[in-house]
Amino acid sequence: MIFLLLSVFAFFYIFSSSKVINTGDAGEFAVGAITLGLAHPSGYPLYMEVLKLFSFLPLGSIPFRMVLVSVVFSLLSLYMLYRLMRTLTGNAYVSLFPVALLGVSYSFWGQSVVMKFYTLNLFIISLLLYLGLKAILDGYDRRLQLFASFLLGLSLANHHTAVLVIIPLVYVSILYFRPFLKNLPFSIFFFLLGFLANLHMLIRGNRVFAPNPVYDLNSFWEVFLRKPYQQGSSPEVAKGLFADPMGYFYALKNLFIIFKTNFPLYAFPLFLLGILWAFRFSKKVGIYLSLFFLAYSLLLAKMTFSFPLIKADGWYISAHQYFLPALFGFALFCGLGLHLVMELLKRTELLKTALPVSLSVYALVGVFDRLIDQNFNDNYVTYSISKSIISSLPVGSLYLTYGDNHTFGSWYFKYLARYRQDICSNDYLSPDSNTLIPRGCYPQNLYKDSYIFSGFFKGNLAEFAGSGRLYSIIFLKPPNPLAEFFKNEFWVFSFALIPKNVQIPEDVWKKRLLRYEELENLSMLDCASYITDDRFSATLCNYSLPMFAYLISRVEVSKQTGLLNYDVRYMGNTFRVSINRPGDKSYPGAEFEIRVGPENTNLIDLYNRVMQNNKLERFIYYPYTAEARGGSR
Amino acid sequence: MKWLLVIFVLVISAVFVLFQNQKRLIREGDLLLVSGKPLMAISMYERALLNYVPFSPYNQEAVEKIEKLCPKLKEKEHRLFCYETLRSAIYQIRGIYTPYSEKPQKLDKDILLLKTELYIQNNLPPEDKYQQIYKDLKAMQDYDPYPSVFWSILVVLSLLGWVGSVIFMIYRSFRVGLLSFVVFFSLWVLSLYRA
Repeated sequence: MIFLLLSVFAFFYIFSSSKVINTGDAGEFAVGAITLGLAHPSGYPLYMEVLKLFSFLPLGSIPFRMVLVSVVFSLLSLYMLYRLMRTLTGNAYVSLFPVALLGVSYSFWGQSVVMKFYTLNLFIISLLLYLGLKAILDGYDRRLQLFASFLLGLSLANHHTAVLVIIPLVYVSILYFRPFLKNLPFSIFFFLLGFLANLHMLIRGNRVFAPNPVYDLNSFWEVFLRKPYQQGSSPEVAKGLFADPMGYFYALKNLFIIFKTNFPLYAFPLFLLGILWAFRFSKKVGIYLSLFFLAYSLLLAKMTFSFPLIKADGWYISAHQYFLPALFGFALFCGLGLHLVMELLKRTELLKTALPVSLSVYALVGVFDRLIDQNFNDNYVTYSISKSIISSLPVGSLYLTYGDNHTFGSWYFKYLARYRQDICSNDYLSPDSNTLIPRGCYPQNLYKDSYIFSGFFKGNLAEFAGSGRLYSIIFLKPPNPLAEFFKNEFWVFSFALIPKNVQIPEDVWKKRLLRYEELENLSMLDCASYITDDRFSATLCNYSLPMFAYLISRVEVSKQTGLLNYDVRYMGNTFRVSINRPGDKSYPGAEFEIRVGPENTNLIDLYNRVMQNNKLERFIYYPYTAEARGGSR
Repeated sequence: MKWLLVIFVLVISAVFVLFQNQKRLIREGDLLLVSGKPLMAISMYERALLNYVPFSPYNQEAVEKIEKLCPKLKEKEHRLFCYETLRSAIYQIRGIYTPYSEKPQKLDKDILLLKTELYIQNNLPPEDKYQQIYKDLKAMQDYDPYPSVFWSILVVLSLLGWVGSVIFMIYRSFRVGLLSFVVFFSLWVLSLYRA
């Protein structure tokens, strides 16, 4: 039965998986993996190599093959859940229920169909959980200890949250303190063997493209411990456990919302019954599983997700990604809860089979929701927008990016797709800084020594920009020092940065821009038609809308039927855009008129459809976001 | 054996979904072409190719349709888009074996000429720099960050090998496991250097 259920999930995950790069880190992961390089800190060397392995499959595009890694490890994680249930209850039918419950949950499904390391991480964690449980149930076995140590070391070459599984494992080691201590030196040896996977960073970290290169041991620890993220570095995040006790309250509150969003209401009483069953079954098992659940729910939430008000992007990044092990633990307890109910019905044989099977089937009803909100099959937003921008740049242009979606998209096209290799993309250190990092111009000597980019690399940015070859994703404004010298001209989902003393005739600009009308149109159609509840897709589409509006305003109309005033303001130093809102004029931006006529009515309709499809209200966590509650955190 | 069922479903689902996507995208491309939107049509054919299925007739159809459209486009910028799209779609489906691997070489010439022409047209550099510009663009275009396929395969296989050896060391024989660990680990390090 379990293999049938896994096959059902296999089909649905494949069906709804992303066929090109998805939003977020996908572009960077794909480049890091294909070049056998690194991703952002902590480098993720194990994930890079697993992605590379899958990239050799002869099916679909390279990003799709890499998404298969998520699919495969989510299926393996579901199987581990089943194994845990079977080991505890011995009941094959009841064990299906938590698998169905977790498999259709919003975030688990979502992470299974995009290029992300969270399902690989979950598989390692669930395997470790299983090893600990085996030790409790079957007695101490030295091999379990050594294997767990090796896996722990290996997990550090993927994602650091795996380390939290130490908390329940420490409990198991206390139970078998003497033999544990006796074998500790071997444990350390095997842990180090697993940790050796990180050697990949020292060998490859400076030979090929790496967003944060590793040259020596110092830079290795910098990247490994995520030091460039300062407050977000692994040691700093861990310190969050001990700061501000009130945070535990908010962590709990936010966790409740996460579980409520991922599981149906009837799961909650089963969850409580599951905890009860675990303690009744064996105190040790109860404590062990509860420690696991606490580590990945409350403690992790305290470290990463314990604010009273959190913005939509925070919900998207944290709630939707970090808590897969907590969802796993929740589903496990729900399964145990159902088993307790089954024990109460022990005299009715028919019910013993019918109830868990029908509940599992009932849990699968969620598939219909997931086939909409987590269906990436037709989500071409990142691919389309990135490609439209790069396609529109004149030969030998400099493209300044900021933020994962645009930056990683440009790297993907540059290094993996080898599209428009004449473009040199740099990312801003911050939107307020004129420090540019030439990570999209690798190997640098090719660009530095060229006639085409010599002006830029010699520091003559104004002269370079005078030839119409400087483009930026962000709207340049004070306090960025470059804002003093350049003005922003709307371009294809980006801005052309033109020296303030250079005037470009409007007709010339219009003709150039309209050359790419079809590409803008296509990207906007992608923005209007995708069905996924994906915050970053929405952010990309919303941010691109004013540029599209500008293009609409340049379309010549034969018979004017109306006039629209368009006002766009760029707020803060991120992708916050305010459109046609009174009172926002204190922010830098632009105003222009759109003459409405038969030639651009379709485009205006498309604009409105994009607005509609990318409303923040569509986001599943919207009611809980700072934006919905009027806060600012 | 039971896992074979899951693997079978995975493969069959992937082939089925990608094939259906290809079919739909080619049809959408054809419709866009009829309605006078060649760049959008090219993008649909590109997506069809990105949903690559070995031996699917739609792969060839997508390549042929893009190839046929490119020279017909009037604007140089559009032709550049078209050639680059086909070239990059092929690079996005490469693996141990790269389908249509002969195409990028042919396309490179057209792309380089177009880029040089466009650069000169837009920037009016001195005539004595034309050769240099061509060479610069060629050097950029020729750069391929894709590591050696042979050594890359060795990297991932030897990783599996040394992870497996450690497990063997723990569960079966420490000596044999250790020996194979040393072999696979050395191979892994070597191939990481050579890839």
